[in-house]
Amino acid sequence: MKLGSGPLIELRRLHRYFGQTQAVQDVSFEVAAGQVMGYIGPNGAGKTTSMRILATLDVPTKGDAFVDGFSVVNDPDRARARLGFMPDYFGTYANVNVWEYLDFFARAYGLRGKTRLAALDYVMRFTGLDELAEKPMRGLSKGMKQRLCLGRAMIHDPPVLVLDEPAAGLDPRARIQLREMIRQLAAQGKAVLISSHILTELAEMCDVVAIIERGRLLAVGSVEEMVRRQVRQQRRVSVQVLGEIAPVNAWLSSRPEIRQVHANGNTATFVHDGTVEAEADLLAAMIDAGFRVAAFGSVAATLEEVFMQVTEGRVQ
Amino acid sequence: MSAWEPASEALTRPEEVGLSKETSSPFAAGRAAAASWLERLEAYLTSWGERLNPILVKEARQALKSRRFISTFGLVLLFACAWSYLGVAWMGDRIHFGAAGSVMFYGYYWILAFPLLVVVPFGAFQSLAGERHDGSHELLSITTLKPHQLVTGKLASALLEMLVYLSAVTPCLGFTYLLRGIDFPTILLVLVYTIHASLGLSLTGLLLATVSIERHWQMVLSVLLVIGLLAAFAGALSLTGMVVLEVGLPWHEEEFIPVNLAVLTLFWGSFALSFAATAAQLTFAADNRSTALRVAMLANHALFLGWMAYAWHLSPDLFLFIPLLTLGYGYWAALGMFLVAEGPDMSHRVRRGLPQTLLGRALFTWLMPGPGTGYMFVLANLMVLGALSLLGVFVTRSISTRPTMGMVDWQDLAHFGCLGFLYLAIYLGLGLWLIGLARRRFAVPLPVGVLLQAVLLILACLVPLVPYLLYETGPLRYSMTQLANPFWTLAAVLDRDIPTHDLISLYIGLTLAAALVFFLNLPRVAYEVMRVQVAKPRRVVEEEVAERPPPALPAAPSSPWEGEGVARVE
Ligand SMILES: Nc1ncnc2c1ncn2[C@@H]1O[C@H](COP(=O)(O)OP(=O)(O)OP(=O)(O)O)[C@@H](O)[C@H]1O
Ligand SMILES: [Mg+2]
Repeated sequence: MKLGSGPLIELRRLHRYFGQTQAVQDVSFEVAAGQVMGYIGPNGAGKTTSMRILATLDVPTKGDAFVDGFSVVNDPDRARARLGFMPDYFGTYANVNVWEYLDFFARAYGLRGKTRLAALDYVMRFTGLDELAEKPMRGLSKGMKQRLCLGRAMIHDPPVLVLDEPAAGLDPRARIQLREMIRQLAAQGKAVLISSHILTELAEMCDVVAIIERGRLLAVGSVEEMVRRQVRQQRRVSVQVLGEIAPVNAWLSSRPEIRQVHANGNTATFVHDGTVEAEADLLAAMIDAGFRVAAFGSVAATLEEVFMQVTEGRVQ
Repeated sequence: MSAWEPASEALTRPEEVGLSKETSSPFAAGRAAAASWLERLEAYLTSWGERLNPILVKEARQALKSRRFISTFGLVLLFACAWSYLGVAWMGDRIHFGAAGSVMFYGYYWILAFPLLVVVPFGAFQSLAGERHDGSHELLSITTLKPHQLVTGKLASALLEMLVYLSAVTPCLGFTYLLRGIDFPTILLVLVYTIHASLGLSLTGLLLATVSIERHWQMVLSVLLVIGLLAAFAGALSLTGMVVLEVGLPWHEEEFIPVNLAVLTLFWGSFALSFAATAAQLTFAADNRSTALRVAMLANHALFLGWMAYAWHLSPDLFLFIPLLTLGYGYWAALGMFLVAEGPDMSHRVRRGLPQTLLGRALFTWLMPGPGTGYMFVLANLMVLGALSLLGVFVTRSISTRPTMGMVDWQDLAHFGCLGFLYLAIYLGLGLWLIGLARRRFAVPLPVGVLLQAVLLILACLVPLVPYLLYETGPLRYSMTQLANPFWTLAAVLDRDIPTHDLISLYIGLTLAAALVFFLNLPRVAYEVMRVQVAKPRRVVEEEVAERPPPALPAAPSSPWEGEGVARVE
């Protein structure tokens, strides 16, 4: 299979309505080979809906999506051969063990003979399932099931992976392992679209993130870029003083450019809109006001803060 | 796909690639000669196994461990043994003199027919319905497996299960043959028909399983299916009982073989139609889900006409035209309701395959998806059916000197054919037009469209009927107020219950209505006919060029893990 020259994943003005609900509205983005894109948004934002369209399980009301240049509407068969999808649920079969399950999907993807056995072998080892080969599927724990699901999604070596909340329900160790697996997959040149609510995890493994809320795409960009943009707009500062914190709190709250003042122990944190210069002036003013400042510094913004700022938290 | 070429032999499982465990054992050395053909056999079997339908492989693995299969199989064995003892004991000495074989056979038939006609079809329904409900079917549907492969796989595993049950009672059936009272051809014919019935019922189960993925609907459907299966079981028992215990099979009748051939070919015709329908139900929405179905409809129609012509050839009787017309019109009425309710949009994917030449467009446009082409397709078929029937009626009248079996007159039949055609044209056209209107405001899925037409028909029959029943005091006779009711009108035509002047106004009214409805639908039909082929996207053309067999060159390694150790995440 020869890959095209364009992006491996492309959503082009995608819309999907369910009756009155506008689950996805005019969403467009691209993911290139070797890129991991985090897809984040509050519950009901339209992540699963758009991912299902990309996985050829649903059809858009308007717009189109492309996998390696092939429309998921008009060439679903070609799109499918290039795409592995891990849904947020897990379809099981009774009386089937782990190896048989993967073997079945390998056959369903048209892998035959030695090629199939090699694929199975690789995937079982990659996902660490080789010791569970004989285990019946119904007896798997959540984490094992997630591994098996990932294994199934990558059994035909697709250049595109679409993972819907793969980290949900995983313990910390398993999450770290998942992160490593996804990094490896990206290093192999795959394009990965991954949705998650665990933003600290996502920030570490994604090159780019797309934020969606109520069906609309609010922001797309690299994690650093987003955080930088956030920092430019408002800065979170933490200040530690010796002595009573209450007067500091009152002093800070009285200033118009400062918001969200919280005091804890002898540390106060607050948010202000402004530049580094404004921050330096503020420190001088505090010292002038007689506070004994022990530490003063801006706190790095996180993806979570970006998320909280960009989204409004309303559901439809 | 070459990405998974094994890096080394160490990556493959030895027992899976034809290196049997036996040959690698130290004992194998002494049996080198035997091993070579064994190896070849095994390699052959393995390569054959690779080509098997994946669903069949999976379901066979599942079945071997499933409680349903094991218990059914055990019960079949148990009951077969029990009947062997009890039956023989019960018949005592009669076994040497009477027709013991047929009684014994009938007992075994009970034991075999239940799993074949009830357990296997219900299992097929349940496995597909369950997989559709819990999402595992979705995951399978996005693999490169085609919908028809999926249906074939399910049917093949049903067939496999049937054969296992059959093989469990085969020794018993052989035993009945040794007793007197039943001959080998009868046993064979009964089994052939039972397996056909089982396959047909399994396909019906699969078709029903595609109707809904909602649990409550599936429950309703499964109850209906079980009732149907039990009825089929009872029917098979009584039919087989009649054949085996009472009348026997009329082997010496001249028409015995043609009649059986007719039954079997018509069975396979409707099997193909149901198969196409099941596969279409599982096909991606933007794909062409109609053409295969329409071809199957056409084939069935031709088959039906062919056997009717054969029957006419055997005994040219006017009476034949009643089943010909009612079954034929009924067939197209039922299918037509589905065809005119088809979705109105045509995806680019389907448009790529539209016929382009003038001849191709004239002939094949009617097979392409769309409610308008569907309407024309049904009308064309009805015209063929009606015209052939009329021709047949006239020819029969001119050659036949015998009195007819029924009391039908050739004129009644001609009226029946013409008026029936007009009714179908009116109702299907009206359905098409109304669904089109409704679609301007709402989404009308196919089942809703079918339901809409059924409601329309019922209303058209009931609304004039109720006041008539309320105010008419005399005997219930056909009146022209009921002309919207096709059933009563057509029955009255055959019964000669309509005076000539009424008949004339009926013709005028219905022809005008049919023409009006036809013109109302003309824009829709024209719109669908005018659609032309669209070009393939550049990426698809690129891919098709790449797929053409390249000049033989050694394949370059293309996967990132080829030839290297696998990094494993701990
Ligand atoms: N089959 C459906 N029928 C009707 N509405 C639907 C359907 N699927 C999704 N929706 C609606 O579409 C919207 C988007 O849902 P979606 O599942 O895509 O959200 P999500 O971003 O995946 O949320 P979560 O984080 O909770 O998984 C929701 O309002 C949901 O109710
Ligand atoms: Mg979701």
